Amino acid sequence: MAVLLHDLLMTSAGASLVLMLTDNSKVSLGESAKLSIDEHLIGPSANRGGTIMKLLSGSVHSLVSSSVGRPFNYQIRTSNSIIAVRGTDFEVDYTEGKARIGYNGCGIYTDVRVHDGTVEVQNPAHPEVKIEVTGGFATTVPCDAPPLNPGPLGLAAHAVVVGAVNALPPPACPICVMVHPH
Amino acid sequence: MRNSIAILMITTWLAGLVCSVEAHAQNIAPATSKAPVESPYSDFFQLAHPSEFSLTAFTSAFRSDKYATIDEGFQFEQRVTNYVGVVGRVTGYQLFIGEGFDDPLSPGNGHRARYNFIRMEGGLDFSPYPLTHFFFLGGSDLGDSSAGIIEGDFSSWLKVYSKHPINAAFSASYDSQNRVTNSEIDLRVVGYSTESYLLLVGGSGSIYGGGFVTGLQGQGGPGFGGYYTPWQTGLDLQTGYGSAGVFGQVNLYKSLSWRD
Repeated sequence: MAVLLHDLLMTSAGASLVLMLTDNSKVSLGESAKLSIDEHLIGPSANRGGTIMKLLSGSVHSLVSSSVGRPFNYQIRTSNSIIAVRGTDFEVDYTEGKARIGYNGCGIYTDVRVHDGTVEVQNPAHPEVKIEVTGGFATTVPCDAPPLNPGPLGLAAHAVVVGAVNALPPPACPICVMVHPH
Repeated sequence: MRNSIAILMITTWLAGLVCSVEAHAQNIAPATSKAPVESPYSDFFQLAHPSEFSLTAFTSAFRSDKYATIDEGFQFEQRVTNYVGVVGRVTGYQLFIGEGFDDPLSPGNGHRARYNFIRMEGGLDFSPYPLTHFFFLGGSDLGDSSAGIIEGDFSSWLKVYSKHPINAAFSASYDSQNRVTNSEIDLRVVGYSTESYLLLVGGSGSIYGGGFVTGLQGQGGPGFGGYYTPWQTGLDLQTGYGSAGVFGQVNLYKSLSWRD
């Protein structure tokens, strides 16, 4: 099935979609997501001119091909972020309508997780602030604020384990569990 | 006519739930959209979707001048909502106590002073804030100990949007049989991280008292840890000094999780 420029791609709850661009870049759209492709140019000499996509909701995982020239102008945009690719493997989540604790009622968030390479993240409201996020790190852009400093990517998975494991045995005083210690 | 720019490969998890393609993309709403914003806890009572079940297997060894322990077990958790989970934990303990105890790392070389028991606990895990967990557990021992246990645990990550986030953890338990209260506090910082692993350094200290324990006793020292994300496996090492003399401790754990 062919996809045309400016088409709006939408997935329902429980569905996913994989888009293979003509330069072999792979774009995976998560459930309940909306994405449009606004620009995708490849020059006659096979140098990539640029790819610009808008993420309106949900999540997208990009594997940018490096086989066709240098991926110098591959961008994913949301209402409050521009994520410019300097690498190959990253994910973007865009959520709107639900506040998070600690953000003063902000209801718009763009979460960027980089698995490989580097992406540059900025909020158009603060064009002077550009954050480079390298592989293994993640950032968030809340509403009109600049991107937050990158933090380790594996923290979420580890936090769940640590939450459980910090409390795991042995107890601080193993001998104390005995009724009649020697 | 517009050029064809891509080929779609569609995968579906549920029959009939595919994707749709509409021409003429919508304009993106500005970041200052006045669309209604739900409060952070608006879904507090909604069942978690997708639901998640996790299982963590663990084993550890503790050795000091006065006693040593080995333990092993598992903990499971079923998320009920995004903020609450049901937790169960089963742990088997082997204790080696007394001067010249039979060293668990070299059994048969000392006199036997060994106790065995199983501790079974259950309770709830409250996670009111991202990367923060409160565990409230209760249970009892079977075997050489038959104590009832009440336990509270807390763990939270601070400064997560930095290269060196900090994990603070606190744990306290009360043994209804010997009336000893244990408490422990851990502070760790991510020293180095990649997508695959985290290296942590920090320290921990513990205080215990009540029951047969004379006054307040405790121990503390530095700790080091590593966590390999693809395997959800971690290793913690700690050493230090306290009421039981010099001690060393090794923890190994692995977590599995399933989502439907």
